[in-house]
Formats: sequence, structure tokens, C-alpha cells
Amino acid sequence: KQPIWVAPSRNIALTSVNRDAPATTGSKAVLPGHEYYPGKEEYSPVIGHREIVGHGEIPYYTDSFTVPCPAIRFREVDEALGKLREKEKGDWKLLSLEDKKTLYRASFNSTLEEVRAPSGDWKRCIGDNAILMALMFLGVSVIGFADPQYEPKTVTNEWVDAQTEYLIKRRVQPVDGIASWYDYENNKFKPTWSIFTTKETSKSVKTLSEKE
Amino acid sequence: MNKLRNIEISFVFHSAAAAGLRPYSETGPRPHTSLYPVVSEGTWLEKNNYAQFDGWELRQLINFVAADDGVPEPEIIIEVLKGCRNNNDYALATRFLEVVRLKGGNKMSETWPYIMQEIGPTMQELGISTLKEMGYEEPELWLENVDDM
Repeated sequence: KQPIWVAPSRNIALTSVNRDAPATTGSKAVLPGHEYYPGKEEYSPVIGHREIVGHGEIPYYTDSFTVPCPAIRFREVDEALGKLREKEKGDWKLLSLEDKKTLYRASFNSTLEEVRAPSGDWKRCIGDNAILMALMFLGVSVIGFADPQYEPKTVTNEWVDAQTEYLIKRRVQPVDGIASWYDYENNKFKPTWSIFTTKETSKSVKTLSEKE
Repeated sequence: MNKLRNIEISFVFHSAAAAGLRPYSETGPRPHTSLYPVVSEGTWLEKNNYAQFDGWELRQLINFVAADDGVPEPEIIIEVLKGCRNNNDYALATRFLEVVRLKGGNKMSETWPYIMQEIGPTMQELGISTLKEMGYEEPELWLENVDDM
């Protein structure tokens, strides 16, 4: 059944192509399933030798749920596909499942379920962010604490010792805090305090208790 | 069953080259007017002989079905499948069935078995295998999304 000839009304996308590139003709061998159709020669630089089957001024192929039937088929015709097309003209019960799948993939790139399928991109986003945060923490810990210029003065042992001396003198937090851990009769910290000490601070704590 | 009748929300005029402007009531919901001669009497299914449509017209019809706010009735589906058979296009038939299935949306589990029940005999006649046999109810291949490249 010959298709109705519908000449393209405006060659919007083709003007520059036709001027710059040499003129190309359609495929020379006419395979079954690849007979003459309107627009075959005009659009061949744009879409290749793929068959135009639907409406669409510039016949691009798209996969979407809103436009399920695009203007062109997806694949070009080989010899094997030509034979399949001849088989398709007969009884469809004789087609095997593989034949049906190849026919589908020849017309369409992906199924609509594949269009809806999630891409899993959120994993990449979170992973990239985690890597960047790790690099940031690495930089802060290495650079921030290496140079004594970037060290806050409240972290030094001198400051902390003076701070603890002041707090103990003022008897702050007598119930649950530092003053409750200090034995004012014997002027030394109670044994529970040793859980929170390191080697260095334990030295300063000893000197403090000796001072008092 | 009138459960799945298309919702005729408004009067829509649709221009066609051969037949001129025609309202909803003559052609049916989301009227698709054909360049081919149209029977003037009878039900709107007989008026719009979808089974004799060309490949171009069928694809336009399926795009309309995808854009329309409803699931097509089994009678329409049968006519479109017959049209695919007349045009010797098997891939289009499966694509149309996918569209019909996904138009159900959240109610896919209720609409799709009913439709399969209604069109099962014609599908066996024409030799179209169901989407489950093809394996197209789940995604088959993985394709990288262009936005993620």
C-alpha cells in the first residue's frame, strides 16, 4: 500500500545542511521494509537510513510516555531485519519470542517501563558529597592542627591548667561537675577524675594539687 | 462495564483536512479525524474505522491516547490492534499495550487485569503475546540517563 505523499512544508533544519554538505541520496539497495517513503532523501543526512513512520516535522526519535510513538523507527534495516519484516507480513503466531523482541527493538530503543525505571543517581550524589566532606575533614585536621598559628590558644595546656585552677577556686559545679571531683580536704582530685586524664594533663593536675 | 469510560470533560473541536470541524458528540472523546472517507451512520466506532487506519494515523491516535486523561475501552483497543495487524507492525501493538497499561497509573493493578480479560481472545487470534510473556512489565535493559552522563 503506497503511502500518501506529503511534501515537507518548511525545511527549517535542513537549509544549512543542504548548503554546506554535499547532497546525499538514500540507501541504494532497497531492502524489504525499507521501500520508498516520503522524506527519505531529504532527511537522510539528519536521520540516516531510518524509516519515517509518523508525524513530526523534524523527525527525531524520542522515548517518552507522553509521545510513545515517535516519527521514525530506531534502527536501520539490515538483511536479517528485512527477512523478519517479510515474516511479519504473515501470521504472527509463527514469530518466536526472539523475533518479536528484535522487531520491537528495531522500532523502539527502550520500553516504557525502562523509561520509568529509576536511575539510582541519588547514590552517586550522596557518595560524592561524602567524599568531599571527608577531604574537608582531612584538610582541617591535618592543616588546621599542624600549624601552631591555627591552633586556638584555649587548647593549650597552660590555658587549661589556669582554667581548672580558677574553676576549683571558685567551686563551680559542686554537685555534678569539677568541684565534686576535687577533694578540698586533701587538695587533690578524687580518683574518679583519672578517667578523663591523659598523660600530659595528669602531669598538670599533679602540679596543681601540689600547689594547693 | 462503564467503569473505564473516558471522561468527556469538554467540547473539543478538532480540525481535519478532509472532514472539516466536527464536535465531540459525532466522533467520540478526543476525536481523531481521519483523512480517509468516514462512514456517516452508525456508532462512533464504526464511523471511525480504526482498523483501516494507516501507520501514520495509528501512531497519531496512540499519541492522543497517551495524552488523554483516561484508559481506552477494550473495543477501541481491539480496533487498534486490528489496525496494527493490517499494517504489519508488531512493535506498534506492543507499544500500544504498554501505553494502555501505564495509563492506569496507581490503579494499574485493577485496570490491567480487566483489560487483559477483555482483549485476551483477540490477542490470541492475532498472535500477539502478552506483555508478561515478552517480559516488558518490568524493565529489561538498562540505559544510562542523558542527564547523568
